[in-house]
Amino acid sequence: MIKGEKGIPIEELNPDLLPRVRKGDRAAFDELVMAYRKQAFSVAYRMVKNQSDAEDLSQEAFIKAYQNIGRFEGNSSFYTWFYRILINLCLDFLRKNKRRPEKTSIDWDENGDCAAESNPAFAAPASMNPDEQVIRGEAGNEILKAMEKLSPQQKLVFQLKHMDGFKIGEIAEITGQSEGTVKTHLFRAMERLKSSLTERGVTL
Amino acid sequence: MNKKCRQFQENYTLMLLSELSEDESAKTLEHLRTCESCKKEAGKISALLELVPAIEVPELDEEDWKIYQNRLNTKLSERLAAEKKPSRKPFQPGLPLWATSAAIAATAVFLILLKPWAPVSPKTLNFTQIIRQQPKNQEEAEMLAYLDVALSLAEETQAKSALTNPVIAQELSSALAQEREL
Repeated sequence: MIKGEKGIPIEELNPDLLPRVRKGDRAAFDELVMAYRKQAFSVAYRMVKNQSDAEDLSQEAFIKAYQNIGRFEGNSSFYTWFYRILINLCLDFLRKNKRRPEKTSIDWDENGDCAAESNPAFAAPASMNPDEQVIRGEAGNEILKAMEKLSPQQKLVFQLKHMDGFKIGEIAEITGQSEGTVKTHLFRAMERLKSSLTERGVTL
Repeated sequence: MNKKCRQFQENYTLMLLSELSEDESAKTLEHLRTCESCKKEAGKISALLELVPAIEVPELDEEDWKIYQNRLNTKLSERLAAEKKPSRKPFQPGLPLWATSAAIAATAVFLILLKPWAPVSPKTLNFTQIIRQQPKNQEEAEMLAYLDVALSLAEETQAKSALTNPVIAQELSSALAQEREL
């Protein structure tokens, strides 16, 4: 759930909230944070793949939103404006930490294979039988490897759509692109993933 | 791949990602009945989306969220307090830029020309002071008069530095002392 209760943004459920935050009401700000913190943390975590960094980045996004709420003109919804701040912070962070190895995401073994199966963050669902888990785990590993080869835009759009559950219109607002461009990134990401898997001998 | 098949694959992806209405989904699926290659491709798209492993996000409990919220509030309070602090201004507030520049330029000229940091020879000063402030008798007064003449001559001949030289000053002082004893 991205927006809040029953998929409706908290600021729409409580129209008084944003004007109160604008006036510096910290209690209203707390309410806003409580509505978005879980999703904000998840989005940041999927991007930076580290709990402490994801906490810091999502907190920083809330602070920036509070400090700049006066500039929010309401041309887009508050939550897409907020996620735009968050995603830009995460992208900046990733750019600055390009050479730093990711701590909890994909572990590459000596042969260059992805050890995602051993990583709880990428484990196949426990409800599957062991054989199914192995097959899925292997295919999942290949997909993760292939995802690393996507362009940053394709990867971001694919993650926001498929993993974080944003609508294409929302992704367009967050990334400042047209819906057509977002779809193009998404389809190209799918195409590249399919061909990468075929090259690696994975049958879909 | 013809245009219709490409359109189908895009729409089918959007359908699986919950981006199509029921009507649009129904129209998309109609194409499947007639196109074998798209049927095969649809299977691949479904499999791919199904196989993408979920990146499990760590579950934070109530206590974690309390810490998260407290930390956020502390950070925000610190940031707001820092914003309120008046920033240090290098010069007096309200002083126009031109006046500041002029003051800096005047100071620079003063420092370069007068070199206030350069040590003044204490011996030269003492010598002058002794001679000028404490003439003991007529002879000293006469000596002072000779020195004045010598100084003016030295200035004229650009040899002032010789008189301000501490060594020469010392010699002159000794000479004067000897004169007094006599």
